[in-house]
Amino acid sequence: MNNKGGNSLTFTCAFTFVVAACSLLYELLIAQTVAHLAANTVVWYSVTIGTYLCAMGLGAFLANRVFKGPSRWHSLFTVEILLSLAGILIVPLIHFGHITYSSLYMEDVTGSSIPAYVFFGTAFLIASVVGMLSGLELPLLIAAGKESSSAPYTTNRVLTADYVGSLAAGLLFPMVLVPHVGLVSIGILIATLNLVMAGLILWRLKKSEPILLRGALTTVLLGLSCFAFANVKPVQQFFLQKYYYYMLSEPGFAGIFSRPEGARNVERWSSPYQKIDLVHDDTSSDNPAIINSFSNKFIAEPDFPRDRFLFLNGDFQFASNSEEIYHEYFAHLPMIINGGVPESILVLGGGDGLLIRELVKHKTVRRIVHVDLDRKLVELAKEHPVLLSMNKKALFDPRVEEIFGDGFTWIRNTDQTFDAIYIDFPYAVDYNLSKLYSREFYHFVSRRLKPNGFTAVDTPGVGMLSDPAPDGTQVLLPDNDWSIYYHTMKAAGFKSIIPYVTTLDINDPQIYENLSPLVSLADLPELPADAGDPAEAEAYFKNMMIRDALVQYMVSLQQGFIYLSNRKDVATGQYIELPVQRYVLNEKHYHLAFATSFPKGNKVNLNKVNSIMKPRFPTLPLTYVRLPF
Amino acid sequence: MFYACSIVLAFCSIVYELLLGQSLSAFLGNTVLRYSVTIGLYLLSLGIGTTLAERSKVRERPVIALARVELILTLVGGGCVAVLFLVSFLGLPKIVFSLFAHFLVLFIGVLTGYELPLLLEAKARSGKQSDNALIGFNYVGAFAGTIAFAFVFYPWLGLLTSAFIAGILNSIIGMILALSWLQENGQKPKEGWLVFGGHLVMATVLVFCVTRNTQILEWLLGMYLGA
Repeated sequence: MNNKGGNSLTFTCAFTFVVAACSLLYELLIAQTVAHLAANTVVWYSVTIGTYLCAMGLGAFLANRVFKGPSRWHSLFTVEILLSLAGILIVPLIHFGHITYSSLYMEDVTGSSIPAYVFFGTAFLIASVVGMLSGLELPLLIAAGKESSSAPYTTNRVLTADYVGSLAAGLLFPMVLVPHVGLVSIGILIATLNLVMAGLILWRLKKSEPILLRGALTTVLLGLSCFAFANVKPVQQFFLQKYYYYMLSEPGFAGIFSRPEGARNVERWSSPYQKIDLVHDDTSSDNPAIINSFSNKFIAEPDFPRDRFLFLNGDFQFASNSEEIYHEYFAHLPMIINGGVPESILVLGGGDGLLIRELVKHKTVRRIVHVDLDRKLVELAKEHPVLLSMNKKALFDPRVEEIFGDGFTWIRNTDQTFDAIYIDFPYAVDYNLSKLYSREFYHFVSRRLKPNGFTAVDTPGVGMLSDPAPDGTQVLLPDNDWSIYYHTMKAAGFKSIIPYVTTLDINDPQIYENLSPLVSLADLPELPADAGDPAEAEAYFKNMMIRDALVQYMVSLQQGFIYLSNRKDVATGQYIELPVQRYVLNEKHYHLAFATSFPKGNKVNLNKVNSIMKPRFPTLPLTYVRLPF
Repeated sequence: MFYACSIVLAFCSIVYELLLGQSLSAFLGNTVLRYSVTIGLYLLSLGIGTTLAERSKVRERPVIALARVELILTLVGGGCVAVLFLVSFLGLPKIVFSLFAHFLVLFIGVLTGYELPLLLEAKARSGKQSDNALIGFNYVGAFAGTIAFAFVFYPWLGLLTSAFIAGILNSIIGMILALSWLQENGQKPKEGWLVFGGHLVMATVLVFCVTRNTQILEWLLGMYLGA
């Protein structure tokens, strides 16, 4: 083996290492972007990777048929240029697929899955094209390696470089890129790497070939990708606004590309675990009069932030206009069931600090251990002015002890026990979160309770109830997740499992009296001539309209929780007054919270138990695509 | 037959890897990290396996060598979830558990890396041409595996049963390989029958495990939760 040949093989291997890394990075980038917009992370990760591998196989199969030219490096140059173009476009194209989905979804009243197929179709088309282009590389590189060196095991060396490159990408992507760089930027970065590789090819060929045209092309594209990288913020903001304010876009085809009108900027922070988005949407249609009907928060605290929404990974967490309903029922109601205020409390999740704001109101609480996965979210809750004015600096309370870590691991390993455990995790939209609603998790929770302790769980899906009948009763909707929660918690060993719902009093005559002057006579239907007393008929219709509005408001906010205890004899009959200020939760609302009947079985149905070994969550359909509204 | 082997073997291997990736994510959290690392390691170990296979003597008797590889793969792959679960009860430090799990990923990957060169060799010896299709079917198998894992195996069968079933598939291929080798090499039946018997025993045990999967799961869970 001569020296030049050795150098050349080294170059080939180094080149292979980089492009293999790029290839796997593209694969992971596509998977991550799709999974982020679609929920069901594990499913779409696996499927994207499978599609990509399949396309790579096809590319490898085709490589020696497509490129028959004299030099492999010329072919590789073409592949690198094409890949870099694709790389810059990957994330924007998938987002446009999602925007098209939103548009079709809004206009499609039949509720078919076709819009979702449009989104997934776009994603898999991209995965196939990029995968195929990447698949072309390896056979060409092996051939190039063989041309440059006659050493044995040339193929193996190139292959090894390929595999090591894949491994490097597998580590780089989740550990460095996702936490620190936005997805659009990651695409541009990888594309730039491809371009640098294209440039290197030219540099090596410079003596033997005319390269002016190719050199110019590479330079222009490099400049373009640097420009794109420098201006990535407006692009990201555009996609964020399209996601959160799609309603404000023009209807039809033009709406896909236009910026939503009057949309404020979305504030976004990235952590290794999630994307945190704070949205200020003052175009929302909540009527202040109806908000004030149930809570005088904005009268007592006129400066409380309005129209703010927190989203984690694109999933709704709370709305500042109505969060007190949710947090008061969550924090105080289980204490009333349990018959008193706990001394030591464990809070799992709930990094925004709003639940803890309610808990620290109790003077007799001595200690609150707060375990949250995401340091970034907790830092925001302690620094961001809007969040601070909402959580009242609760996380600075001297009784609060912050621990950063995975709730599952922490509760499994701790030997501390508590009077109360509050569990406030995001909705189980993928298997990763499903674990935090598993039988195994609840089992460890029950072991960390003191004998008279209780657990309060925010259980998304339990509040899925029908509109109230004329007598006020509500029934469980078919997609209610109650039975999964029930059998899972029963399998975990809890003796008392008591669900309750944020059911508001929509029959309070005082509310009708307050709202009545606000209903315009013009909104009322024409009264029939034989309606009897016109004043009575008018009042009747006014009340109907008010009731409709109240029902709509209540059902849109309705949230289910579950109280858990290791004691058998817990009952909900008795109301006790807690000495803390509240806006919504009172004796009447306490009793209304148990108005809906939830079916219970005597035996555990193992098919309904959510386990880390066999998940029952998420219950979302597989073709579910995330939408904020 | 080689095409069928190529599809099923790739299918089983990717299912093992995804099961391990998901178990890691279930025990240690952070799905994206676990999946990325598992896939990166899998590709790396495939490379190592391929290299080892090309250098080693096993290529001289590819069919029976492949049947032997499948014997180990069935044992390790079919039992990987159960073993991982058992190891997690021991209360070892997280790093030991994590190293062990990644070692399993690597081990299964290396063994899987042996498959394709051996299949190619076997095909070449049988006098037929065009090995590209064999590689193509390998990719198809991997693709089918990811789809089956995401839509059927994990949500419907669970981690434990999925591993058992992939193991059964694997040993069926092993038995077919051993039988076809026996057919061609009547002179050395002992080794062939041993490999065949090994697969048969493992397939039987795994089928038994599938029928008793609820009890096994409850038993494992009892140990896990009791710890």
